[in-house]
Amino acid sequence: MARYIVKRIAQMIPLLIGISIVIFGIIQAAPGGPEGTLLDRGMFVDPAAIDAYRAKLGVDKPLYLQYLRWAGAMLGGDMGVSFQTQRPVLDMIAERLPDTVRLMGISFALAFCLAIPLGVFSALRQYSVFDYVSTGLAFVAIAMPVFWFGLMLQYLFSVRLQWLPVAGTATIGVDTLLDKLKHIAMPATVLSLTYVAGWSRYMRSSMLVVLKQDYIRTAHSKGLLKKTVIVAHALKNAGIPVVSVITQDIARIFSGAVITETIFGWPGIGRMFIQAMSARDYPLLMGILMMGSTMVVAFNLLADIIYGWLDPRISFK
Amino acid sequence: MGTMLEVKDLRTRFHTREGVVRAVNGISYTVDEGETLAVVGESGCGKSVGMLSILQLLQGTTGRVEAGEALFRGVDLLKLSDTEIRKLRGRDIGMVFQDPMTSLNPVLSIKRQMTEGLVKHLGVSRREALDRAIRLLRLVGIPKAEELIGEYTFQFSGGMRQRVMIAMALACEPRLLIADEPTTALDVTIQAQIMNLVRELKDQFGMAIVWITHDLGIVANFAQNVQVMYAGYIVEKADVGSLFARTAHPYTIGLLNSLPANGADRRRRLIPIKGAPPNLRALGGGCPFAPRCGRAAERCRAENPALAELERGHQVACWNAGEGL
Repeated sequence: MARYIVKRIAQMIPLLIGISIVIFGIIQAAPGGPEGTLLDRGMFVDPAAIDAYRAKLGVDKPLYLQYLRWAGAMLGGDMGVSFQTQRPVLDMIAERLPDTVRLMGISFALAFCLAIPLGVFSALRQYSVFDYVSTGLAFVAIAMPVFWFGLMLQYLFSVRLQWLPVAGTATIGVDTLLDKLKHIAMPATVLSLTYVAGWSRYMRSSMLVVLKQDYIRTAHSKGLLKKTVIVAHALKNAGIPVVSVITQDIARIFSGAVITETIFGWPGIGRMFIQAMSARDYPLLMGILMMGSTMVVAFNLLADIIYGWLDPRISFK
Repeated sequence: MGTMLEVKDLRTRFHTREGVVRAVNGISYTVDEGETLAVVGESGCGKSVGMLSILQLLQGTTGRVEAGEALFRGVDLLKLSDTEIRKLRGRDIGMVFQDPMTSLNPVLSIKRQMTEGLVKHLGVSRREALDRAIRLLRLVGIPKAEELIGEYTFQFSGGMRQRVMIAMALACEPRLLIADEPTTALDVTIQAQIMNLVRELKDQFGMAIVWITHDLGIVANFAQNVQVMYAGYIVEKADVGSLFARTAHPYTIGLLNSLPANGADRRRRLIPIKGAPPNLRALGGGCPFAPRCGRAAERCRAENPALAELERGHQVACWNAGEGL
C-alpha cells in the first residue's frame, strides 16, 4: 500500500509538468498582455514605456525562456511575483486560501450530509412521492444558473427580509460566530445545492442497481434487520461509483467558486482568479491553476485509495 | 412425522407494465419434519417465486402474493409483519440460492457474512459467533477455515462459495432449508459433491429440505417426494418411487424423456419437449400444457384439470391420466 502510494505520487510529477506546459501556453495564447492594465486608463501611453514595462516583467522574452524561468523558480518553491501587486504569488494565495477552504468545505460537508441520505431514500422508495419530488428538485437545482439563484437569495433574504448580509465574510469590527454564519449561509447554500442535486442522483441510481443484486436478497433471507441490509450490505457497494464523482468535485476545494465568490463578494481564490485573468497576471494565474491541477491529480489518487478500502477486489500491487 | 410447512392455495402475481404475470396459480403442498421435497420444473414455472413468496422475499419486485396461506408450524408466514418474518428467516428457515457467484456480498468478508446472522438470531458474542462460523465452514469442507474466514468471496471458486452459502444458511440450525437450484451454476462433479454434502448435513441436523431444481434426474436418489410444476401449477406430485415407476403427467414424461439415461438405454436419442412454456401473462382457461401436449384433446384446451389422486400419495392434474399411458 505505502509503495503503491509512493509510486503513484512519482507518476504525478511528469503529469504535472505536462499540465504546466499546456496551461502556460494557453494563458499566453490569449490576446493582450499585462501592459493592458496601463492602457485601461484610456490615456495615451508612450510605446517606449510599454516596452519598458514588458521588459521589466520579462514578458518580452521568447515563450520557452519565460516558461523555463518560471519552471526553474517553481522547482525551488518560488511561484513568482504577481504582475499587479508585485507581491509573491504564494503569499497572495495563502492569504485567500482560508476563506475559500472555509466556504468550499462547509458547502461540501453540507452537500455530502444531504445528498447521500437523499439518494438512498429515493432509491428505497423508488417511484414514491418523495422520489418524484426529490428528482424534480434535483433537476431544477442542476438546471438553475448559480448566479441567478444567488441573486434571488440576496433579494429575498437581504433586501426584502433583511435577515442576512448581502456579501462579505464578516461585519467589520464584529467577530462572532453568529455573524460569520450569517455571512456564509447564502454562498454555502448556493454552492452546495448543485452538489446535493448531482450527488444524490448518482447515489440513487447506484443504490437502485445494488438493491436488485442477489446478495441483497441473500442478506434479507438471513433475517437481518432492514437497516443492516441497507447500511452494511447495500451502501458499501453502492458507494464505490459515487466516490469518484464526489472526490473529483471536492478536488476543487482550493480552487474556489468563481461565480459564487464574485456574487457574494467572498474574498476567495475564485475571485482572485477572475481578477488575475483580466489583468493577464501570468504568475498568479499559473500559481492558482497549478494548485488546482495538483489537487485534481491528488484527489484522483485519494479516490483510488478509497476504492481499495471499500472494495477488497481492488488490490494495490 | 408432523407437518412443518403447509402451503394452501398460494397465488402470486407480478404486476408489470406489459400486464399481469400469473407466476404462481394456487399451489398447495406440505413439507413434513425431516422430509426432503424436490420441486421440479423448467425456468419460469414459478418454483422459485413460490418459495420467495412464502418468505416475503418478493419485496422490491412487482410481485404480490394475492391469496393463500403458508403455515409454518401453525403460523401463517404471509401474515407476519416485516419484523416478525425477519426473526424467522435465517433462524428457522435457511435459504441457499442458485448462483453462488452473485449471491454473496463481494465487499464484506466471509467472517462478517457468516457471523452477522448468528449474532442477531442467537444473541451470541462476536467471538462465539466466529468460533461457530469456523466450525460450520469445516463442516462443509472448507480447508483452513480459520484462515479463509477472513477472506472475501472473490478469492473462492464457485463450489467453495456454494459451500459457504450452505454453511451460512445452516448457521442457526434451521428446521427447514430451502435450496433454490443450488447446484445449477456448478460443474457436474461439484454438483455431486454439494448434493452429498447436503445429504450428510441433513443426517446430522435433521432439518427438512425443499430442493428446487429443473433437473428431474438428480432428485431420484435424493428426495423422498417430488412435485412437478408447470406454468405456476403443480401438475404432478408423488413419492419418488411412484413418480418414476408410474409417471402420469405428459409433461413429467417429457422431462424424463429429455434426460440422458444410464445403462442399456444409453444410445437412445433424447426427446425434447416441443414448443416453449406458455406466456404467463396470457394463460387461457385450458390445461397450460395442452399446446405442447401430444395427447391434448378438446377438453384439455377448454378446461384446466385439477390435481386428482391417481393412487395413494400420487396426484396428477391431467384429463388423460387415468387412461393408462
